[in-house]
Amino acid sequence: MGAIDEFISKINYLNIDTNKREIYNKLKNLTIFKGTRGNPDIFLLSLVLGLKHGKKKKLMNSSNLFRVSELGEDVWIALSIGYAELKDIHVFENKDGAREAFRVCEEYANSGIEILNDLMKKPSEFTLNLIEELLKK
Amino acid sequence: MKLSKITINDYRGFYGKNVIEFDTDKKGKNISLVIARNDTGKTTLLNAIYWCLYGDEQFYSMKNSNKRIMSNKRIVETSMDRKMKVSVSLVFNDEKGPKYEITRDRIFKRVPDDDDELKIVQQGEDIITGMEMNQKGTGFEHIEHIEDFIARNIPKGISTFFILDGEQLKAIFSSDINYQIRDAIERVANIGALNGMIDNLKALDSKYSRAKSGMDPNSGALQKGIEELEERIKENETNLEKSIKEKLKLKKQIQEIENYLESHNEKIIREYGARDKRIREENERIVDEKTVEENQLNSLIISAYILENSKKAINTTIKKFEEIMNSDNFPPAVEPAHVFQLLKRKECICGNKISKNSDAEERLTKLANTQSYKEYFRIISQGDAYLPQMIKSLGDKIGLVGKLRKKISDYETKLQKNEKELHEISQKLKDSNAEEIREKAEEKDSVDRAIIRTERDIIVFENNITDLKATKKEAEIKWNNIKAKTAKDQLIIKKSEKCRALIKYAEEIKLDVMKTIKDSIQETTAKNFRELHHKAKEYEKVTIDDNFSLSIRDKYGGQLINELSQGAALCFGLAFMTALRNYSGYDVPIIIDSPVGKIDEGNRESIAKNIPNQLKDRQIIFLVTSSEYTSVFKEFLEKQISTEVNLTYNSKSGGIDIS
Repeated sequence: MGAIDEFISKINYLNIDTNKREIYNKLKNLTIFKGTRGNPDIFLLSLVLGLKHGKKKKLMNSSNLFRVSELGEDVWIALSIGYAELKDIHVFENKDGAREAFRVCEEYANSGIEILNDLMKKPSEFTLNLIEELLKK
Repeated sequence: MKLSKITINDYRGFYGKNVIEFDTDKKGKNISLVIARNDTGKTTLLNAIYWCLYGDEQFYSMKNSNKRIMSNKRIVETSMDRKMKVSVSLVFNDEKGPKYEITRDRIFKRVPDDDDELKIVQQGEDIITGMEMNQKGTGFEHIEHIEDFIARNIPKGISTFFILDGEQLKAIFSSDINYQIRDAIERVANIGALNGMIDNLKALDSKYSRAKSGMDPNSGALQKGIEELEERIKENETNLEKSIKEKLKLKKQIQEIENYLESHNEKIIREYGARDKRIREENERIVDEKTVEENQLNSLIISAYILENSKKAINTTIKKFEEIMNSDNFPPAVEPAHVFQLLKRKECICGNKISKNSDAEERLTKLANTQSYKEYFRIISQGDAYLPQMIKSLGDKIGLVGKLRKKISDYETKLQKNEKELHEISQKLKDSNAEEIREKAEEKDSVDRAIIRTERDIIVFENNITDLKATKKEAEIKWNNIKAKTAKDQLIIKKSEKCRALIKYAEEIKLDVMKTIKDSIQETTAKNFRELHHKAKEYEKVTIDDNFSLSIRDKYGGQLINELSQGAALCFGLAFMTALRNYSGYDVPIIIDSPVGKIDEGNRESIAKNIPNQLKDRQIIFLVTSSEYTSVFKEFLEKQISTEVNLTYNSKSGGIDIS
């Protein structure tokens, strides 16, 4: 087990607003997410969409979505986004710092899931947009 | 059949060989006389004749009955343990001369005995032999079953009326005389054959009764069962016939379909169908693979998108990590706990004092708050190594997205091509009446299945018929047995009825014959008696009753049979005997011992006068004493005497002389 795995094992779950759980459940069944890990990937996608649109939203009534360990090495993405926001190396030093970084991620994802839900009204278009966006770069 | 010769060897008083011959050829002379004094062998001669024929003696008084049959003189002359023989031989003549010779031998052995010095023991059974002159008269031949011959020709049962002792004649009217009379009449009338027939018929009837098997109580159910089996066989045969017709019809139908399919190029249709199937299968495989690739692509796109949009934050982190790793205090030289102690003492790691709220205090505080410098070191080191790789992998992922999209596009192109081809095949199949052919093929399958069903039905019906026929055959065998038994029973009943009718008829005939003969004998007996007995007029009626008892009644109807004088009894006995004799088919001599011994002169005259006439042409042998042979008797008989034999005792030899 890598050092990051030991580190994040001390943090149990990533959370969402309870009222967003239905969106997660709906999106999981879409074809675009068939080959993914489900909730972890939808969460990360929501996170980057919220980040991209600069939108965060505090969780009003949080509930567990998945274990942090399910992110695997993608945990670096979450921690990096938290560090970039907080500018605090504690994110990588201790549990509290990491938890703070994940809170930032949860807020971005809480906003980003709404954006994703809207985009998913036209899934094929969404996919093409993503591809187009990626290939442009 | 006349007795012509008697040969006696060592029989009682007849010591040695003794031969008595009677002349049987003199016409009109049918009487032979054997004259002897009392106790000079007259009754012994009668017994010798009887013994020869029947094996026992009949006429001895009590005082003689226990005496030995063997001549005492012979016994005395025989050494101890030596054998001796007594024998009597009778020769009977017919009109041509000697015809039969009957001989009885009995062997004795002398044995020692303290109480009886003349003790002898019989050795084996009597030896009785018979010889008969052959048809040509050239020699004698052995008679097989001589006892049967005697029983047929000189039956012991009626010997009472042929070989008799005049002095004991009254005894024949004893209690069993009825049986003897009845037996005599039956024999005279040859009723024996009829009785034999009746007995045989009764035995046959009894056999028929036993042979009746009786009707089988299950025969009705069995017959009904056979009828039911027949119906079921017919039913199955009808069904079998229908099934066979149905099969033929279906076969014809199949042939027509096959002809149609043949003429409509079924082969091509099948090839198109196979091709269509292959393309569809390939499409299914392509779709599956395409789905896998699409899922992979989607996953990759999302992953890349996430990475792309977090790239800025990652780079910030990378930059910070580089900064940390490039600083002087990385990795930290001291443990955070040690730093915490230094802070308490307001000392720096280098040993200098630090002031409050200074930069050095702030750095040391942070350092002291680090939970584990080793962990911190490891995370920073891992992140420093990994995060640039993540950024770098983004380019690979984007490149892979392009490749996957190309692959998916190829799949789509192939699918389009296949779809086009499928459309073309469909069009060709449509043009080839494919639908109708498919329908025909389906119909063929259906008919094939119907044929299989029909063939199965045929097998079932055939098996049913075989089983039912076997069951029926078994039942029929049983039924035939019952029928045969019934027919047999009916035949037996019929035979039994006939048998009983015959028995009844035979018994009626027998009664009629018996009655006729009895009446005849009764009439003749009465006539003879009146002739023989000079006082016969005193007796009103001579009868033989229905129960075959003889009766003589006076004019008042009183029974006199047991009150007859010796003379009357002899006359009555002779009257009955001569009457019987005249009806008899038995051609045997009449031998009478002491015919007139105890009767008066009047009777003697009547007997002498009438007996020869009454027994005309029959041989009569009178065994008489000299006193019996009176002048009156002699006067009437003399003309008819053929042979006169005298027996005299020879005191020298101890035997009897015959002259």
